[in-house]
Amino acid sequence: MKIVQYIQAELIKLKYLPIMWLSGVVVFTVSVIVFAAHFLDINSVAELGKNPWNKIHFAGRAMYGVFIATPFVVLLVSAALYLEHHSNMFKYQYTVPSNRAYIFFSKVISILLVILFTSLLFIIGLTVCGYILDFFLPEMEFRYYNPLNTEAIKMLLHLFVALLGIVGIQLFLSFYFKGFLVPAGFGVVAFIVGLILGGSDSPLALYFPYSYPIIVKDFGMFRYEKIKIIEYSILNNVQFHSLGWFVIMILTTTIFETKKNIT
Amino acid sequence: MSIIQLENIHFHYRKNEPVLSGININVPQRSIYGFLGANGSGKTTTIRLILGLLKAKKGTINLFNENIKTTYPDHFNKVGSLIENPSLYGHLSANDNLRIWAKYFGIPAKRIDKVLDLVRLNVAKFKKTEDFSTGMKQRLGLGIALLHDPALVILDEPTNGLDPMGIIELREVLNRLRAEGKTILLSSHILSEVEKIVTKLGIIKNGQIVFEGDLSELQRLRHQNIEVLFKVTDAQKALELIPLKEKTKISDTQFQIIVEEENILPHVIRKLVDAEIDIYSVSPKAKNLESMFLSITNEKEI
Repeated sequence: MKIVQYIQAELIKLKYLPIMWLSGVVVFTVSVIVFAAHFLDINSVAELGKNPWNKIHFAGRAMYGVFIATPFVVLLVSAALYLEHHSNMFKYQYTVPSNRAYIFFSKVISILLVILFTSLLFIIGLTVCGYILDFFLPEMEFRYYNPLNTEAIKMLLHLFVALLGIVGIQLFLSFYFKGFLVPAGFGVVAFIVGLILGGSDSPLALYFPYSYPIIVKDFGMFRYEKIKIIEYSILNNVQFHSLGWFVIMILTTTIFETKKNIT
Repeated sequence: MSIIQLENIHFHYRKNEPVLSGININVPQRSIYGFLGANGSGKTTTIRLILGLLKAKKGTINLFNENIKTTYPDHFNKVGSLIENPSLYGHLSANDNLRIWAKYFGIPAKRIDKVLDLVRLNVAKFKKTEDFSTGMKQRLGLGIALLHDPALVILDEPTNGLDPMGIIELREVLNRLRAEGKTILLSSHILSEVEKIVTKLGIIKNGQIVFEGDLSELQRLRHQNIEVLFKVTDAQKALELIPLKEKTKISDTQFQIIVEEENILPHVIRKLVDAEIDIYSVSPKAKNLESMFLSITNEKEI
């Protein structure tokens, strides 16, 4: 399978990149903050007969979704594509015996894999954090419950789908603009706007992909009255919007890349 | 058999500013084709068209006797390229860089060591390429181009950044590749760098091919339109006797003529002797290949 080999090639490129170290730093930081918050405020966590893992995952997920996931995705996509532009790699990549769309999709898939890998690290980080809390504060009873509950994984998958719209837009920008600053700068500004829209309960947030990781689930951080989130059987309307953006931007970028002259 | 065949290729980035105007190129199998031209004459654009990185506005490009529109992208299995400067991932080692391209071309990783051996980079296998010298980078770029053992190797200015030793080594590698049956298209703006190895030459000027042929044809041109300087007793009288169009009086005793073929020269000398004009010296201005190339491309500096 060509695409599998291409994805392997993409993953080799990401090796030793500072952005990959950032994944570890992000996970470590969130875990430390979650640990500190629970260590200092035991009464809010320990509830008799209730799974403490839910609370710890919820707190970590809220912090990750609201403040970290979007800037991380913006930096990841911008850095991964800047690496190609900086080395002027497309003039060689587009002379391999495959359609340009293969190259493009292998990049998309490898970026999505890195985001999923970071989510996995995130679950591991929070699990370690729970067991350390349990060591110091056994009354929290982490050891009596299964840390890998479906709720934690579901939460991260919801966030993953909510991030897809941002991935699509950032990919288009990073392919179109050869530098790092324009796509990354746009992403950071859009993240702030998204935070304001999501945090201020603006109905516009439903149409602005950079708000989706914030509004996709109610973490109790903001009050949502004007933003109408409709839950369907698997996904909600925010995630459907995110998927829509992703598909449109991916198709646009594919057409743009396959027709582009490489100068 | 032509491995590369370009027929009436036109290309422009902006309308009314043609970069290539109806060029025709034929690169025979098992040849080392020197593609020469001054900077900005259209060499790299031509190479990018051959590699499908740019799309021609008009004309046909055949690789291995087939139109690239019908064989795209499968024909890239048989084509290796190094375009201007090599593109390397600086944060990765030579080995990792080659592993990436091995994945792209679907070839086993064991080929990597052979290629590193060919370009003499075994000792730097695990060294980050950002720490490589320009010459090492160029060699690794060549290694990447050869990794999938292509039948056609396209090298755009491969001697950039190479020291004299590196250039000699490159020549050896290219000769070895030709002996293995590969076809090589080699672009350069310096004739002296390629004249020792090329079997056929194409010279491009302002987006048009102004010469295509083998070195012997270029050598033949050396003996055409020769400038000859005469020192005689009476230059004015001598010029009146010589029935040539291009003649210039330099002083009372010196004049210069241009003869289309060198066999005209004895007739001119005989005519002067018959008219009892004493000849002190006859100095034909010898043309070397470099000056030939310059006169063809009509550039003072290349």
